[in-house]
Amino acid sequence: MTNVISIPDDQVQTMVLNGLTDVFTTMLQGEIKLVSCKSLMDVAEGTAPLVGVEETLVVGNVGFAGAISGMVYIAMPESLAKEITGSMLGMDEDELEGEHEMINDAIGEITNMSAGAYKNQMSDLGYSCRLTIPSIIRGKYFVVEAAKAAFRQLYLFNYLGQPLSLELIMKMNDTFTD
Amino acid sequence: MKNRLLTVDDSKTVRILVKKAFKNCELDILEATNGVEGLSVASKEQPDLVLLDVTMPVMDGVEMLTRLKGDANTKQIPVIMLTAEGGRENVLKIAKLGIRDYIVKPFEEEVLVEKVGRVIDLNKREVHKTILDKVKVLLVEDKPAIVDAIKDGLSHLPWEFTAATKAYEGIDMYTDTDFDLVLMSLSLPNDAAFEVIRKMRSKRHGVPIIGMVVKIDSERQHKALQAGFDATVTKPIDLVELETRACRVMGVDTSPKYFQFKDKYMVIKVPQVCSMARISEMQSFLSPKVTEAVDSGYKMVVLDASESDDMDVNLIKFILDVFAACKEISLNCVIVGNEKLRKEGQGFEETKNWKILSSIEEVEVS
Repeated sequence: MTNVISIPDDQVQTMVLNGLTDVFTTMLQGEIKLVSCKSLMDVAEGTAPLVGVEETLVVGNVGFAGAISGMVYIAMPESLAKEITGSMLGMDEDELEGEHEMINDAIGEITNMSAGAYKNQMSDLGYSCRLTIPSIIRGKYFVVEAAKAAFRQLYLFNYLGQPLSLELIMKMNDTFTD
Repeated sequence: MKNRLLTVDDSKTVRILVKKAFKNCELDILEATNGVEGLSVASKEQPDLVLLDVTMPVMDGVEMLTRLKGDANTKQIPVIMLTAEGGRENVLKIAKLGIRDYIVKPFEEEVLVEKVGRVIDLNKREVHKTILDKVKVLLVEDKPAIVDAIKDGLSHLPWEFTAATKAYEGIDMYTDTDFDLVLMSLSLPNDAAFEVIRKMRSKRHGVPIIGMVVKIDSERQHKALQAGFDATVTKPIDLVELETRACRVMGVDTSPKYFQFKDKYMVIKVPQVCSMARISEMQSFLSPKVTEAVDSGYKMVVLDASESDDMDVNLIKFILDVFAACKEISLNCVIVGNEKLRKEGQGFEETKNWKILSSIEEVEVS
């Protein structure tokens, strides 16, 4: 299947996977495993980032804009966000107790690097675009309702025995000139 | 005079990673969180190198770079980009503005240090101390019970403690002796700890100082980090945590705690509690230690998990990493564990077929 951005879906998936794997291997010396992948193109209502997780979620968001524009959301349980932060910065769990700001910053940076790794591959294919500053959403039981997009895919991963999702939304901008 | 590096990045995480990467270098690290701050610090402090992000609020890296190179006062300062913006076209555009190098995030510490080292002298400090070496510790604490608890709790290490119960005694001792580490109570009378660190820093830079503070006093913890303490530990003191943090701030090689070379094999000693931080620490040593084992003629690795009671996901993952590292380099690997661990191992798909021996002696017999 090919989306309207003229790149086959499996090529997009490979780029997403390459980017995320590179970030987790380089920054965390860890292995992230793809569990499933599904298209959300036909989902009319909003979707929850990680269904069934009771814990508070930490969601990093980074946008990209240019010849294509879109968003990357990376969602994970708060406990995993804490482990990732500790592992990346060499900090113990108790050093991070109550340090929401530090955890938000670290997950924002992981999302920034992952979105960057993906969008750099897109740029090299001729879809030049730039990243936005990362932001963080924290909460439970919320849904993402995206505006009409040409491509919307949810990838579910397993990292350290916990779930992590990456949602990619993008569309083509016909009138873009750099 | 030490070289100075300015890191301009809106992410505190990246600024911490930069500081961590250069912890063994004689380098002063200056920080700015956006292009406006970056220009101001660059103009005032004249750093020897700028590490510059692209996507930042207030003023982005491209604009800062353009202005930096357009100002006669700062145009000579070399710049290395450190950014997630890495498409070929963007890199070429930015390169034309005059940069020395371009590093795309995610980045490896070694690559960052190597590229920065090509531009400025890093004066790398020799890291020669290991956890088995003598370390001189100055303990500034007015409560004798805490002094005794720390001395007793860390008595398994070859560390030599000198205790000062009063602030002025601590300053005098610090002046007279080259200590490797200072542990100081933040509850000294009259808030003296902050004056003591100021005086110590004015006499000698570079000696790591850890503050000990009551757990609920988060305001004082933040104040301590702002005042220049390298780290804090909370009272009541967790001695494992104190040891880990002390080793980290001193840059002490802790690998001998986990990796020991015996007559016929290398032992990887798994600690009783496998926190993520511990696993990360062990993983960071795994590849070089396995290589060292082969280089030294060893044919077997014994993963000694006999002190561990919990076959949790961190431990399973670490053991799988050890297996993979050994397989890659053709080393045999056996696991030693207690009865509880063996039983728990039966319950997981990944571990049910593992052969776990009951003791090191059994390894030698087999």
